[in-house]
Amino acid sequence: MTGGRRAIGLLLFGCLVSVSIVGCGTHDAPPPTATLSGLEAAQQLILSGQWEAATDSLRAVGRTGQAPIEVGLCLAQVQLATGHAGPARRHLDALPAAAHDLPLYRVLRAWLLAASGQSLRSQAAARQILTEYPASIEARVLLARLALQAAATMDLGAARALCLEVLDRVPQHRVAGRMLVEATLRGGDYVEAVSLGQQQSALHPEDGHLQLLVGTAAFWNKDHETASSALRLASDRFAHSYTDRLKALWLLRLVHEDQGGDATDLPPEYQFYYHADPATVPAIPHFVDVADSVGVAKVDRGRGSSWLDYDGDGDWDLFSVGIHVEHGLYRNDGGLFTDQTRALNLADHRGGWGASAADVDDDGDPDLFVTRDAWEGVAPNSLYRNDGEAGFTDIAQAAGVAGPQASFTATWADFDVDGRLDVYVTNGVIADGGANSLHHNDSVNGAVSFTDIAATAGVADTLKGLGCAAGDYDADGWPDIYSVNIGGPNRLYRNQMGASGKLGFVDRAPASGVVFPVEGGYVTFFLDFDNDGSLDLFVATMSGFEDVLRSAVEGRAVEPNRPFLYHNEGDGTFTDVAVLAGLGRSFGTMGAGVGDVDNDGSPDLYLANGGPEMSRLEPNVLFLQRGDGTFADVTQAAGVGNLGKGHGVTFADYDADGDLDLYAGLGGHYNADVWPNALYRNDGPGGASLSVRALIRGRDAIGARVAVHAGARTVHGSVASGLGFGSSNAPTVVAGLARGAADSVVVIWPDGSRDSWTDIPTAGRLTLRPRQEQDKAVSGRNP
Amino acid sequence: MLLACVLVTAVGCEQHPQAESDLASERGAQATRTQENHRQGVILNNRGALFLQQGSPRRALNTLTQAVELAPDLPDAQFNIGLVQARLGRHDEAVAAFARAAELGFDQVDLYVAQGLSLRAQNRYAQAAAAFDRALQTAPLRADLHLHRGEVLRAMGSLDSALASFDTAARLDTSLGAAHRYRGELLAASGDQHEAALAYERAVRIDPADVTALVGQAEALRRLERFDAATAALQQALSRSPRNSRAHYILASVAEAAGDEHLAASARQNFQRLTEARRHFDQGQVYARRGQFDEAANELSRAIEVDPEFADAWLRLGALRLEDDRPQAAIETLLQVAALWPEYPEVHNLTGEAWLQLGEHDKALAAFAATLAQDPASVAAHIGSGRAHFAEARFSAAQTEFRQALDLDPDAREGYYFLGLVYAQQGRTREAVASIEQCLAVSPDHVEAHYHLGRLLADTGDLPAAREHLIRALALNPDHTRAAQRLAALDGP
Repeated sequence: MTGGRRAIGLLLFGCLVSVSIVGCGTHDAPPPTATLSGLEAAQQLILSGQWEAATDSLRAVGRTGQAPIEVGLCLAQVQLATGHAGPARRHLDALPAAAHDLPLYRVLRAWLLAASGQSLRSQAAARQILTEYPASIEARVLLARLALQAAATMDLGAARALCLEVLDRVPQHRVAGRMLVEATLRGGDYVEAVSLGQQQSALHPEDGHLQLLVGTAAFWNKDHETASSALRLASDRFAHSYTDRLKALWLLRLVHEDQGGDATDLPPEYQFYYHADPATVPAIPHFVDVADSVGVAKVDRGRGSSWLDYDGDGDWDLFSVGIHVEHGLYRNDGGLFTDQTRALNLADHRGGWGASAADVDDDGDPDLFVTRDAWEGVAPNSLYRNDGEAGFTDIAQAAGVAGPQASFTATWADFDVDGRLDVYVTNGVIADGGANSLHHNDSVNGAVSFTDIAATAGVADTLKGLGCAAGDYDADGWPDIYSVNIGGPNRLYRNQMGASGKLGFVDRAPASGVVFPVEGGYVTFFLDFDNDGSLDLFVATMSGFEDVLRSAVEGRAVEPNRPFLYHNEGDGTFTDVAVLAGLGRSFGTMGAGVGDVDNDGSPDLYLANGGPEMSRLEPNVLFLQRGDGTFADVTQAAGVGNLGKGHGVTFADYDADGDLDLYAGLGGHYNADVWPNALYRNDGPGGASLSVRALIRGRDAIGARVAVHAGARTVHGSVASGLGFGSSNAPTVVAGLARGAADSVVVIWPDGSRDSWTDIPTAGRLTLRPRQEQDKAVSGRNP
Repeated sequence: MLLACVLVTAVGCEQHPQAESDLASERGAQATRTQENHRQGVILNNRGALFLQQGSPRRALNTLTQAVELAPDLPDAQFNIGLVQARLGRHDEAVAAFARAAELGFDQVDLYVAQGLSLRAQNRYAQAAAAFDRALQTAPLRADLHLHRGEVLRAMGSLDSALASFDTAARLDTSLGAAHRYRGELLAASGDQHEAALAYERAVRIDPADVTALVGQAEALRRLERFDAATAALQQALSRSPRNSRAHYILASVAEAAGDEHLAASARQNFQRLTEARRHFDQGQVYARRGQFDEAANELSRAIEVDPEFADAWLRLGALRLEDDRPQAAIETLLQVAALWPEYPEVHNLTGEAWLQLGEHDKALAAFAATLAQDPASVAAHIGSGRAHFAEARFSAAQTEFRQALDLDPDAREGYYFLGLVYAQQGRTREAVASIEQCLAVSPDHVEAHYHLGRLLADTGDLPAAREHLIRALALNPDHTRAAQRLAALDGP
């Protein structure tokens, strides 16, 4: 039998080298490399995770013309293992039909599905292969990968079992070894993870990734000594891998700080250096996390959150959702919160992702909308109608907004200005082709009913929808939609109703220059950061951790992985000014919020960062605007650099002291990656503010624009629901006045009508209603 | 060495008088060997340093590595290795070598400077600052050291200290424009726009082509509301660097503030166009790095669509198609680039490479000739021309090209390799062997070089050496059938 034929024979069993080495039961260890053919040597290298060497070896074999099918398969395997789906696909496409029934070919095709986000299909295919070829190592490895993913396929127990099966057959299978440790770590068994990691390290002493896992597990276990030792070893092992070494050094810094040490005390070779921004910063407000003391330190792997006045008592209550855990509804009782979740029928264990508030039945109290299940797959959304003291009732199915889809976020606006709030929902993040929905509110006399008109309205985008926001960017009186796709171009759906008289949208993103980010785009919102009266646009990017760390030490973004701040030029186009504005760094931003925390009249940004990996402990970041359109990172001084995985961050002045406080939903995707949500109370210093609440028929006027004039200065704001991580700030415009006083307030209501008020209080809280509705200029301060 | 130690121990146990004598004799011989090794090490170190000076870092590294093998305690060799590694961009290895040199007692200012620069290149700012401080203890009047120190202090956020360093650098060397520019940046960042503008002005006076300083000056002037002066600085910057997006952005702001709406709109559009194209270009680069060639090509094409004069995007698209084994498509793109920017030598080199892949040797030759017409020092063009001649069996012309390439870059491994093949074709075996050996001195893992050297040595009758190289070729590529066949032939039936 020739080498090539023998290899095909092996491949038919679906386990590559493993069959020749282990499957036959004749060898306990691979034969010495020197006796192997080039192909076998390459397969050995694949087995031990030495991708570069394997590629070199395979190319060398390829040049000889031998075993082209096996070489092609192995090259595809290496490409997939190193995250290069494109070349892998090309290698597979180039193979003859004779290869298509080979189990490895099928495994790699299934892997490609996973690489394109189709995890469930990938899993089904891999399971089928394993059924047909029970000895297949590679099918097991793929299934273990999928079981480790932060997706609907996640099953850490299964991942562990699969890895153990692989290691039982091929003890030196490095990838399986790493995944076993990773699964154990993600499951929260830190001691076991350290032990397994050390065992695997003994097998692969040069493997820095294993040391990194040991260090991570030990850090989570507060075993600082073991963590420090392993991370130093990891750093040494990564001497020639810049970004991997940065990971080890970053964690080492955290370990050291966790012990109360100063980062600069570490030996120089083990220090992680931040590249400083030389620009001066304004006075920085200080925050204190009071979540625990006021009763909102929920542990739910925090996702969306929403501030609302559900009981109409004039203060801001909090609604918070997490993954597969009951929601939290916290009534604000003078700055302390009382958990009303169960009392008000919101103990829905399905949890959720986005959490926004809107009065859909126009009865004057806010209802709640929860999207699900995003990366976790298809599930119905919930629309909880606020029935006052009777609690909340999920009417999503009956109202026609349940889906089900893999929904991520939602944003509210009265798109056809008929006086009823519609909702746009992003779907399809699991790459199932699920189209985004535009639920038009058809409710009559309190009977809530929606119709999905996305297809006819031209907004049924089938890309992987994630963040969305509504705002009238072209000031034509008709709300538009910005929708973020991960791994694809973003959309700026311009509302055509003004021109055609029919609700419909046209994507103007390319012409307006707001297509980016096209790869890691996550969440978004409209804002007027320079107070010129036009809505600007912020889009956050979820950058890889390597890029984040590189960016931190190099002082610039790894382009184009960074936030985008699009300045509205007023002519239908936007200009990306993020880098010039000081936002030119890479972050793993999953949630973001906007609010003027220092009351200087310029909105500030809070980025909630992280990622599913247990070793990815990336602080959230607060960017304070200097007032000249540039931002300063004041995270450390402000005390808001939470390391927990951040999502739905929202602002509200919950303690009614005139400055915005900040709620951050925190938590990762894995069982062990839990953090209590944080409520950062703003302890100033900040200037005075005027908090404007605009109401129509007693409900918050979502979509209203507010301008507060103070001397020569005007602060612009808008009332929105469904921004950032599908969440809602308190529906007020808090206009920072610095040391000034407000002269007048102008409100442009969602129907385009405009009212203005003078003789208003210099600061404090103000509730306004349309003059046509109630000819009363100022209703007075709220309690 | 190890063997000698073992022998000493084994014999010493028997305590034989003859053994003591042998031991003394061995010790003497060992001392002599050490001395000789040291002497050879010094010679090799000097040779390595010379190679480095001649611009041949890879040969230098090989030589210096041999030097430290013979004389591990030679600090100069460790220092030189550090310099070579830094030249090759391997700063980790450079830092390690500098540390070894310091341990061995090498204590010269150049060591600390080189160490600081390598540490800075790795963003290890505090260590770099310490190295520059150490260097400044010995050479406190060197302006460049104060400049470097200022750079790392700035990166660390020690802004006052950084500013002091730049002040000192500027005072010590009044022609050091970068020191003034850095001063300008820090002063502007601290809000002192007036002093910042002055600092930038000094930088521009020293180097009128310093576009960064011009743009910085314009931004400071804009903040001082000196719009005419800002506009003048920006126009000067844009005349030198018309694609500087930041200059366009500031110009838009200045024009808007000055009430020139037309200029503001025009500058803003330029900024939008340039930055949008850059975003597509950057995204294309990301895809290309991942091997997603189709996606990369789409993004690069989009960059070109937005900004048809984006030469780098055109060029990258051509290179991408070449990388994607689509030489014909590459040529189509590259010919357009060549028509638009005939002065870009890289265009012609890539075109030549594509023609070579298509077997169109004369067209390849013409493309490489176009490069050489603009840049006679293009090593790649000489080697490309040589390959084209070689493929057409024009050995004399090929030889000339490879020689020229090697004159320009003594580290051009392909030059040695192909020159060796040319000699072999001409029957000049000894020269062929020498040339391929030089290739291997630069690139010890060059599989084909080992194979051909083995083949040539076999022809000369040096069978042990031939076998050694064929085995090496097989070790590097176990499926090298020609090497296996040659080896089998050597071993006979």
